[in-house]
Amino acid sequence: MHEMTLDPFTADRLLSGVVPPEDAPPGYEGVARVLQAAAAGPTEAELARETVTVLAMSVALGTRVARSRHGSHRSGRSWRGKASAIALVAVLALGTGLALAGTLPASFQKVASNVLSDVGISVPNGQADSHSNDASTQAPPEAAWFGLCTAWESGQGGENGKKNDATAFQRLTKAAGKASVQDFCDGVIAQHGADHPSSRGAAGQSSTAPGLSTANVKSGGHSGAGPGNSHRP
Amino acid sequence: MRRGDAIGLGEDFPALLAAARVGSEQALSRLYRELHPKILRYLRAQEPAEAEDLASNVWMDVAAGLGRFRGDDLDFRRWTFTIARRRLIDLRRSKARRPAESRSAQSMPDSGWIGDVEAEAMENLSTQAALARIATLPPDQAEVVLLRVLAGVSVKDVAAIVGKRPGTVRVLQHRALQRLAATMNRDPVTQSGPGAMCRMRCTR
Repeated sequence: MHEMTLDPFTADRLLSGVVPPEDAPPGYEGVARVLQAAAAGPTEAELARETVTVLAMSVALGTRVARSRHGSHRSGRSWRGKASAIALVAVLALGTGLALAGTLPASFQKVASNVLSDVGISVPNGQADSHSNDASTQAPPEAAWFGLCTAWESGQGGENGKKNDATAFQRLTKAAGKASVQDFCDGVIAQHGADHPSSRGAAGQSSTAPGLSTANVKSGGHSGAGPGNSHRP
Repeated sequence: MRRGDAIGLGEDFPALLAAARVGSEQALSRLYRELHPKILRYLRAQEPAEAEDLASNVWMDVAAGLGRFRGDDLDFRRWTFTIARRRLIDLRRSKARRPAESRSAQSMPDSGWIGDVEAEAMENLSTQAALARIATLPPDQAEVVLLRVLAGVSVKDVAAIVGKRPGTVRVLQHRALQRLAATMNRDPVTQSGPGAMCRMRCTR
């Protein structure tokens, strides 16, 4: 087979994406097109998991910052860490119920579980979900709204400003429409209390997300295992 | 051209990094939007069925290591792709330890890849087709091309990421381009529909 000649300098320029197809050496126009297309701008589908991934990262980083400020005492965890963790659970549930972020795989659930474990909240790690994906394992949207509202209300009167900048809380604002988030959440929590009498009364006072039946607060103890620690970059 | 400027972080990067370290969603979102599509493509071209999960794990690793990271935007890109590559290696080792599951997983990529193309319709077709074309190269050549094009790093950086000498990387990229040119002149890329993807991917 005849091999088309290509000098190292041109090869380097082709791979740097600075050679448009029309300026490529003879026989390499198609290669230039392929390289250009491979590096094209992002698509919406590629960014579908942005909300949940960014929130999970924010939880992980917020927790670490809080821990470094307060030493190794788990009691020193910030409100922000807990509320963000609950919001993460809510977003995960919303992702399933409202298809906000496409389907969430078991491995991502595991990542979220690790993150939430880091702030003292236990949720399934997704191992079972990978084998059984039936509707009974998926939190309904109502429960997700309840979890999100619980997180939102738990911060009322706190000093950690800008919480409403969180993507998850912006969804609350959007869902509330013309009503205030406070009114919207009061309604959600009241409705949830009527539907689930056994979980009534904890909203705003507990760091759990009662609407998400899988969430419960661990009793304490220090855990140094954070996400990705088994694979430090 | 400084390669670091190509992904749009540039001078903002130090402030962005400082904000990201304390969990700013806005800063994290900016980093994510800049790099995630490229990381996803790098992974998808090599492990289509696992790419999304691997990419999510890469970002959690980034969060775990952000406090220790030192460097500029180019270093950051190099670092994230190094993490992505390690995740890929971990996955392959894990598959090798579970040969039965590995075999069943290996039967999935074509359907997963084609499904993505169908879902994303024409908007994303040319990028997918391009990645599929690169994926037909021998793995070491494909990896070098993907890192050069998607991570936007130099031969020296690629050599550091893949643990090879720069001279070896130059040879690999040169052979990759020659092979791509030869196959493309024999079987040009068409953008007529998902079937084009299938022809390239399924004949691999």
